[in-house]
Parts: sequence; structure tokens; C-alpha cells
Amino acid sequence: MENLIQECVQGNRKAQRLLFEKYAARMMAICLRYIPERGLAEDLLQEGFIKVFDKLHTLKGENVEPWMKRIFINEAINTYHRKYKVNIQNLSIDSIQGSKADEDIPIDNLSLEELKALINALPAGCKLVFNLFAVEGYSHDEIAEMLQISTGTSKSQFHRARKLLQASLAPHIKS
Amino acid sequence: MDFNQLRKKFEADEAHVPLGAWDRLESALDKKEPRSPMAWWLGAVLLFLGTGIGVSLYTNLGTSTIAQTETNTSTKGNPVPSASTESRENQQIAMATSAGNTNPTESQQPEEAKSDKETGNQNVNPNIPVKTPQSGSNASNSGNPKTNASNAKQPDLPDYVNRNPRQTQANQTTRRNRTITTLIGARPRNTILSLPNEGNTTIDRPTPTSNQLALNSNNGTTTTITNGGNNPNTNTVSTPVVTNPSDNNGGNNNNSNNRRVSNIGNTPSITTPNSNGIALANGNDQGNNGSNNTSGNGANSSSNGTNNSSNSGLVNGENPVTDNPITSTTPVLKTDSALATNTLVKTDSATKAVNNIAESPKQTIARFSLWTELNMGNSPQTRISPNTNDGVLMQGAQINNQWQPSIIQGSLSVKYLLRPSVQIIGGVLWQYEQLSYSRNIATHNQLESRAMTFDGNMVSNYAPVYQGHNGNITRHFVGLQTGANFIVLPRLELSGLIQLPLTTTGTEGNTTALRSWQAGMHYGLTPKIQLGAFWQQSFGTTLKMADGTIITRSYAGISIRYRLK
Repeated sequence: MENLIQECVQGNRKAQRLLFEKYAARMMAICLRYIPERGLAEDLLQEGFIKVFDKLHTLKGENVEPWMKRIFINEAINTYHRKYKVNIQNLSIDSIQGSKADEDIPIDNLSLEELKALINALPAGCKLVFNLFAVEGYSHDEIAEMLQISTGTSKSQFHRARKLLQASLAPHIKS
Repeated sequence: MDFNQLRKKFEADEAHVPLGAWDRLESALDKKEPRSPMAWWLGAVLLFLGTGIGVSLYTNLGTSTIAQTETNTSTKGNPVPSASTESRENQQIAMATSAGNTNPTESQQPEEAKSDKETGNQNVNPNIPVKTPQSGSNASNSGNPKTNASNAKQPDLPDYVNRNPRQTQANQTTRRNRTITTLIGARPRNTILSLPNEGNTTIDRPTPTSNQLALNSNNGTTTTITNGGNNPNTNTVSTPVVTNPSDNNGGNNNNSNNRRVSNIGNTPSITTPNSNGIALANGNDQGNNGSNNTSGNGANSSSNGTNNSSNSGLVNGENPVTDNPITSTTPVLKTDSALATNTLVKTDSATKAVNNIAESPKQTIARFSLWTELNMGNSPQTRISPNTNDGVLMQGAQINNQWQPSIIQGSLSVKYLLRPSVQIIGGVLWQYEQLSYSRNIATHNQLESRAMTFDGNMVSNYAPVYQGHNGNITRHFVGLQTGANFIVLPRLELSGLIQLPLTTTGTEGNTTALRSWQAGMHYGLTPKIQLGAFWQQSFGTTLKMADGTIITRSYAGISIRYRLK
């Protein structure tokens, strides 16, 4: 892998193609997770890989895939803001209170596709925060910095996302 | 919620990468950065080959002797391997949706539209742009991409659904084209192409067998579909005016959507009785209630939102709000087995109006490219046949020839992709040729002296008298060239050409056509620039000078090509 990356850094197209083919499907999934429109996601995939090849020389002993994922997520967030101009607002306490967000959400029986469908159905801000926190594993502080929102906003959005997911899963749980 | 479990599930998440994505990326990388050092080295090697061979051979052969003049009387070509002058086309096609999906049916049409209907937000057919924002309560949602984007559930739309964001958003005023570079011959069956909706689109499609054609946002544009092969039909869809396309909620709407479909030319393979000059003009009003005006031959009627399958798979006057994109499952065109492998649609920044096209793998899109080329060569081998009857040369005379022929050649060529790796070439060329020479002719001297050697043999001593002939001959001609170009590697091409001068002028030499063949090898430094080397060899009629000298020459040199279009 190190040789491959070295070749990519040197601009070897064959090596770059190998790297692309190895990670394109996973990166495309990330793109689609944040940008559901396929056309935009394809653009994002291209822009992301251009950036990857551009910055590959800065990769020092790191694992490629997480590094690449971070680049794609950052690109996705930028695209998201650029295209959708989402204003992620801090939700008031009232809107959170009374929820049963602390209850566990059973995801064992859900397939990946079902999960993706549920998450995609979330409102824009909630979905973004939920993806970053629950799926990618960023902390609320990191999310706040990435999205240029407050930590409280990130938490409230995530809380709301959980609540909405619970509501969506309620019929599923009963059944 | 167990996030670790959730992350594990998502770790394995992979999505389909559209065909041609790498080619697109590679093109973008090429534009962004110069080619790798390896490529530059290869270019330098080619340059060296082109000039080095010429110089070295010229140095070796620059001085001709009488022996040369006696033996080099042949005017046949020199069997020396080649270099190239032809070009390679960077196959840029617009393919905005992913390939590899099987024939979509009408029921599988854009789900955005369906979801919009279900949610009551009927103004947001994502494939239809909003030309005129609607006033009044019924139009509150028209042209609001954010609303549409957030309302629409888009979990994972099928691939054939046009997901181009420029097309899925209702207000597409800032739409831009995406040009995707894709390889030829690699498209699976029944793939769908989505073209950016800008300007006019011309598609050459010889053999579609199952077509899905969606016309969107084609205000004021014309889409021409030319059927190749044995069925030279031309179907023209003109959509001059689309007004208030987003309002379908009833009420006081004054929609007037005028779309006109006409078939031009004979359409023997189309089931429509309206085979000649059909022009259908529909002005539909609210919802699905409209009046359809049909004109033309036969009984070809049209209605809003219905697919007039007898009319070449094109729908007349569909309501841009409620209707799905125009679809057709009717095989429209005959299959031409000669055009079998490639699937390409070429667009430019002005293309518009066709979003989804399903096509068979046997569909070949004619792909032309325009190239200009500059060749510079020197002659490593000039063969000279002196005329011994011109009164100057006598038996036993010697000639020291020093010729410095060189050429500059420019050409303008069109290339057509015949097969995935074969292009045919045709074009015009202009060549300027300069033959500088210095000829020292030595004749027998009258002052021949004889001396007896020590052993009794008689030895003749010649004191040659040189008659210098120096000159500079220029010739230029305009001619034609044709040949083939073979893409042997993604960036490496070999070409062979026949060059036929039509008019020849110059300071000396005959004016008859000096035919030549030319072989070359080129490497693409960028999609638009190629560098290579060529070998040019005259054959047939040779250059005959005024004094009767016949010159046969070859040229080796370097070549640079630039793609104009």
C-alpha cells in the first residue's frame, strides 16, 4: 500500500486508478450519505479524489481510508452548505423535553438499507449531525467546529434525530 | 442505540460507482496538473527519436558520391519504420447518470415526481424546470428547490432516475454541464445517458432497441435525434415555449404548454402512419384537460401525459408537472450490426433537452473530432539520380552532393471513431519543402598526366576540376490526406496516412503530385495535445529537377497535434 501511495504521489495514473478503484465504492457511499442526489454525489466523488491525490503527500504513516473518509466528509459538508444552505438551528429545550430519546433504539433487526432510508428521512440538520456523530463517530465538539455551530446545537440536533428515529421505528418495534 | 453496531453496519456500506467515473476524474486531473514525469520523458524520447534519427542519418548520407548516383536510381520507397501524424481523440462524452441499469419501465420513472404527488407537493417535478414562477396560492411551491429537497424522500433512488441535481431541482437557472470522459465499448446493455439540458442536442443513434427518452426543461431548444444505419430518420422535437409548468393544483391556472413534435424524413421502421413531416402542436391547459391540435398526415393523435408510442417514442405536449418524462418502449430504429459496439453521446456546453436515454450496446454514436497538426522534418535519406545526358556529366565524373531537405507541414483533419480503437482520418494538408543543395561536379581533366611507376605500370593521375552548383529549391503544395489511426494504448497511437498533393508550386521541380505515405506514433500529453514522431516517404512520382535530376527523399521529424474540437 505504501508503494501504491508513493506512486500516486508521483502522479502515476495507473496507481491512482488502483487507489480509486479500491476506495471509490466506499467513498461514494459516504457521498450519498450526505448528498442524496446522485449527480451531486458523483461530482463530490470526483472533487474528493482530486483533493485526495492533491494532499496525498501529506499522509505520513496514517491509515489511508480514515484519512480519505475525513476528506470526503469535509468535502461533503462543504457541498452540503453550498448547495442546500442549511441553517442548523439550536432547538429549544421545550422541543426536546418530553421525548423518549434516552430509550434505546433497536437497530439489530434493521438492515443497512433500512437504516439508510430512516436516516435519509430525517430533516437536513438532524441528518447531518446524526451521520457525523453516530455513523462517523465525531464528537459534538468536533461536529460543532466542522459545521460552525455551537456544541449545544449539535447535541440538540442529535437529540431530535434520535427522537425522530424512535418515532419512525415505533411501528417496527411493535411489529 | 448501539453506535458501535451502527458504525459496523455502515463500514461495509458501498455504493455503485458510475461507469466512466475514473475517466472523468482522470480528465480533471489532467487539467489540474501536468502529466507525470514519465510521460514527459516519453515525450522527450519521441522528440529525440524524431530529430536524432534524422540528424544522424543525414550526417551519414549527406555526402553522395558517384557510386551513390549509380546505385540510387530507384525511386521506390524506403522501407523504414514509422512514426505518426495522426491523432487520438479524447473521448469526452456527457453521461450524467450511472450506467449498467436494465431497461427501466415507465412505472419506474422518477420517484421524486411520485413522492411529490403523494405528498401533495405537485409543483416539484424535479425533472421539469420552472420557466415562469407561478403566482397565486397554487404556485407557492414552484421553483423552490430547498423545499423540494427537504420534502422529498430520496433514500436510494434507482440508477436510472435522473439524479443530476441541476435537473432534480425545480429551479435550474444555475445549471451547469458535466462532461464525463468515458471509455468506449465498455457500456453494458441498456444503459441510460442523461444529458445536460443546455442548448441543442444532437444524438446519432443508429441502433436503439429500447429507448427511454426524457425531455426536460427544453424551453426554446431543439432536440434532433438522427438515426444512423439503414434508417436515416430524423426526429425533431421542438419545444419553443413552456409556460407555467409547475402548476398542477387546479384553480386559476393559465398554463399553455406548447410542444411540437415533428418527424422529418422517411421513417420506414416506425409504426406511425405519420411518416412525413408530422407536426403536432398541443396547447394543454389545466391539469390533464387540454386541447390537442394535431396536424400532419395520418391519424396520429396526442394527448397530455400520454405516450404517443406511434410517434417515434416521443410524447407530445406532456404536462411538465404531472407527466413523467417522455418514455417509449417502442423500438424505434433498426439495428445496424455494422455499428455495434460503442455507446457515446457527445454534448457540448450548449446541449439541452434530453435527460434520459436508454440505449442498446449496439449503438454507436458518431464521434468526430477536429485536429490540427504541425510536422517538422528533415531528410535522413535523399536519393539522387543525376541525369548523365545533360552535357555536364561525363563518364567517370564525380558528384559530391550535399542536400539539406526539410519540410514544414500543417494539416487540418477530421477523425471519426469507427471502432473502439480505430479512427479514420481525412483532411487537408499544406507542405512547405526546402531543398538546399551543394553539388560539386568533378570532370576529367585535360591535364591528365601519366607516369611510369617503378615496376613499370602506367598510372594515370587526375586533377579534377570542380564545378560548383549551389542552390535552394522550395516547393509547397496543398493536398489531401486520409488514413487510419490506431489507439494501441490509452494514450499511445499509431497512424498511417496517404498524402496526395493536389497543387504543387515551387522554384524548381515538376508540378506533378508527389505522393507520399506517412506513419507516425503519438503520445497524449494532455487530452488536447499530443507529441510524436513521424516518417514520411514519397512513392510513385518522384521529384524531378530542371536538370533532369530525380530526387527521392524521406523525412523523419517531430509532430505536435492539437485538438480544436
